[in-house]
Amino acid sequence: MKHEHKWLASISAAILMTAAAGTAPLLAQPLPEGWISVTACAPAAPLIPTNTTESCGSDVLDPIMAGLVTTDTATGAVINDIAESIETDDNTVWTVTLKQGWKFHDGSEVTAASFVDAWNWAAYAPNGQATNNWFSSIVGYADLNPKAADGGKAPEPTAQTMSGLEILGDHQFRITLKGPVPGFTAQLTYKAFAPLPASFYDDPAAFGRHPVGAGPFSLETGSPDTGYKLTAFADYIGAHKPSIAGIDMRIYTSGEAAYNDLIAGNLDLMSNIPQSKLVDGQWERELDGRVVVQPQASIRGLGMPWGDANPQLAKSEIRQAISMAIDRQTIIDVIFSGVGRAATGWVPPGVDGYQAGACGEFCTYNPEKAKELLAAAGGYEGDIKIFYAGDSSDKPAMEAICNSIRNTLGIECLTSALADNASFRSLTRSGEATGPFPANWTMDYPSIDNAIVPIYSSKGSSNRGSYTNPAFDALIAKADTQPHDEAVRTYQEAEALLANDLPRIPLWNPSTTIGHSARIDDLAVRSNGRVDYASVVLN
Amino acid sequence: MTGYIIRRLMQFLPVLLGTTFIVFCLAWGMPGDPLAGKCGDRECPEAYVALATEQFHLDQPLVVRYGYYVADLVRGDLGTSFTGRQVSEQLMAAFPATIRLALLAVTIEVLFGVAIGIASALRPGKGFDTGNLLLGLVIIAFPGFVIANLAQLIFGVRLGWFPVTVNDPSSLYQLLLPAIVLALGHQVTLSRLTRTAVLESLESDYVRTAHTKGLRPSRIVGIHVLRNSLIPVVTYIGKDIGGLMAGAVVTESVFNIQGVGGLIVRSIRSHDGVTIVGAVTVIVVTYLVINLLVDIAYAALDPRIRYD
Repeated sequence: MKHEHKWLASISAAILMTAAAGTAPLLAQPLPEGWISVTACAPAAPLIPTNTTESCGSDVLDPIMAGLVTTDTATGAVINDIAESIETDDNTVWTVTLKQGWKFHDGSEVTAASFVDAWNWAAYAPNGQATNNWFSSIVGYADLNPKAADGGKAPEPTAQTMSGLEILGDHQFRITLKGPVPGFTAQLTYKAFAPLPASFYDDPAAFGRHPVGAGPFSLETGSPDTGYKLTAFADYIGAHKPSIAGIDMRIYTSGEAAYNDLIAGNLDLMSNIPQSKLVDGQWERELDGRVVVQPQASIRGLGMPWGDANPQLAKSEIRQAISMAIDRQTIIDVIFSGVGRAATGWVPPGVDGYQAGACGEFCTYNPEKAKELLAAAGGYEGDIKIFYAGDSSDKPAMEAICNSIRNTLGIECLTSALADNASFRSLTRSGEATGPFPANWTMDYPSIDNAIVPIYSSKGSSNRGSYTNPAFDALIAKADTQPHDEAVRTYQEAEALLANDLPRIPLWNPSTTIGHSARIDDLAVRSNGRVDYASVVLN
Repeated sequence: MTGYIIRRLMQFLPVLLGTTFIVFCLAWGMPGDPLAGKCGDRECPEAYVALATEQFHLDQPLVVRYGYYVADLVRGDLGTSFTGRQVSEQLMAAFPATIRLALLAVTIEVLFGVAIGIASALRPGKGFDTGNLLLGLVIIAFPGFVIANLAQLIFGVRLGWFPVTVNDPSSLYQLLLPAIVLALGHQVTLSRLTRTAVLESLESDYVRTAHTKGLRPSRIVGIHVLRNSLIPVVTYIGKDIGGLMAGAVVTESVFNIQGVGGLIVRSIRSHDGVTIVGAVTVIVVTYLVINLLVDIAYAALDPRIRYD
């Protein structure tokens, strides 16, 4: 008897001890004076600017990093940040002069080497950075990225540095590009071009957990599980000096949970309000009008099957008919509660080179014309199947598009959900998709070339052979040799060419929805949809 | 007893190998390229694909990759995930919240479940018993996420008695509401189980003997009846703790608790096979250990149960 009691006792003791080991203060600590709490999501990759391509990690890195240039939150124009000047005569050789006195959060100075070394490291193939091909326009990139023989592994690179990057002095360096790139300064707003401190190279993995930049906020502590605490950087001398003392980035796995915290007053700032709260202006009522709706530099489109996956959908008239059958504004009003704008071209508004109505009549809702176009093309046999990722939020919009097509053109339209994003992408880039699919593009930098060149030029890094148009390629090549303003006009001509083939049907430009607490008086949002924390003003 | 425990521990090995192999195949056999979508709307550069392919042996057959995995596992290395973090580090971050929530929930459900069960059994068919039965049915009829969302809205947002979400999982007070929500449904099952078992024991011969012997009723119920009724209850609690250790996905999501359930769901969504397999391996071990403890508890509760 006694013996067994001991067993029972030790089991309960073990359970109690585990419970006790985990106890801590009963209440969480309140935020320090001048801090704000904001929503964040768990980064899916180490926080290295040249390896972070997903939005959760970018949200954290954005206030920590500063680059040569940045964008003006009011006008969207590219303005110098760490750069004193960026000069060129031919769009090929660029001389960059840095401002004096910029410091990293670890106290070291920002010099020309902080940029050149970082770019060489990112372009070096064995480092396997996700933004590796961003540096491909620099002379010497190929030496760092030797091509693999067919089916084999790529050989070790022969060089570690790109010959196109030359340090001219502590605060000056020269970039030589393979050919002219008119929008190069706009490209430099992308965070892959951010400078890195010398300590980075000692232990990139440690840096990935605790990034050090030259931005207005420095990382105090943080992890993808506990969130991130950022403090205003005392030695920051840039134009975006924050007035708040710090940012408490809290990891939320569900938008509903964050929203409930926001309306209960436990959270100061939330981006991307859940769709269900936008209906009938519920969020505006519950937040007492403390809301911001900001157009985003991004476009949602409908990708079209390519190759010989569906010969009928390869016909321009049929694509045009489908595009004209989609009632974009009604879908935005019903599905997105009116948040967002109908797209009239392939370049999002607010981007350098944006022209309204680039797509012309083919992106307007016109059922009569749509029917005529379909009839002229000889009709459509069978049904149209729209593919989307089952774990995305695309379903309602895709079904609405299907309804539009069915009602206007009388073609039977079905939606087909793939298991998840990975299988969706595998299908759509294999060229075996027999129907349209959602195809989105978020601008990496706010210049027209970024919206069209990577996707529609035949060598585009995100094209994968889905679209080739010699006339389009010729215009892109022409723009490369032109000075900025002329180049923009040539890109616009190229954009207009897309209206005939509709490689992607423009649908709409989403807007960022932001709600905030009564503590926040004012804030500005960048065109990429991120809040500029340096602009936040407290009451 | 010691021999029995050693035998059970040895059985862990094939079970562990079998389950991890199945999970490994499922996690890595998911349709679609695990690297697709890793570079936002863009296609990933070749250098990135090459490095990731080498790092995760993506060009090797599944069985070979499982071999690598087991070799690492034997060395106590659960691997490094696509996020660049050690799986063990991720689990160390996620488990404390889940364990605290699970233990708090189980404590609540045992306290209330057993007490209500005994009280119902002592006066079966009377007001308390019937009332509890009806209330229990109502609670069970509500899906977990409805209760969780309602509780959050009423006690968190409207009344402000509890924090709306858990931003510091080391605070027991913050975990209280989610734990109560988790415990609610289980408490109903537990009280019904206890009620049935106690009723059965109350009618047995030894209870009558104890009564005629003049023992105090409180002692009869508290010591003799309860102990003999606890076996099904302990089985249920064991299963419950095991389940909760795997993470209460819905409750964790509603109250924003960064626990194991959320970690696994996130990893499945992002095709992070390393994390999925690592987390499931640890959960399997936890489950096995808890079941062993339950079986040992049987012997402690009922001397007739002998394992040697």
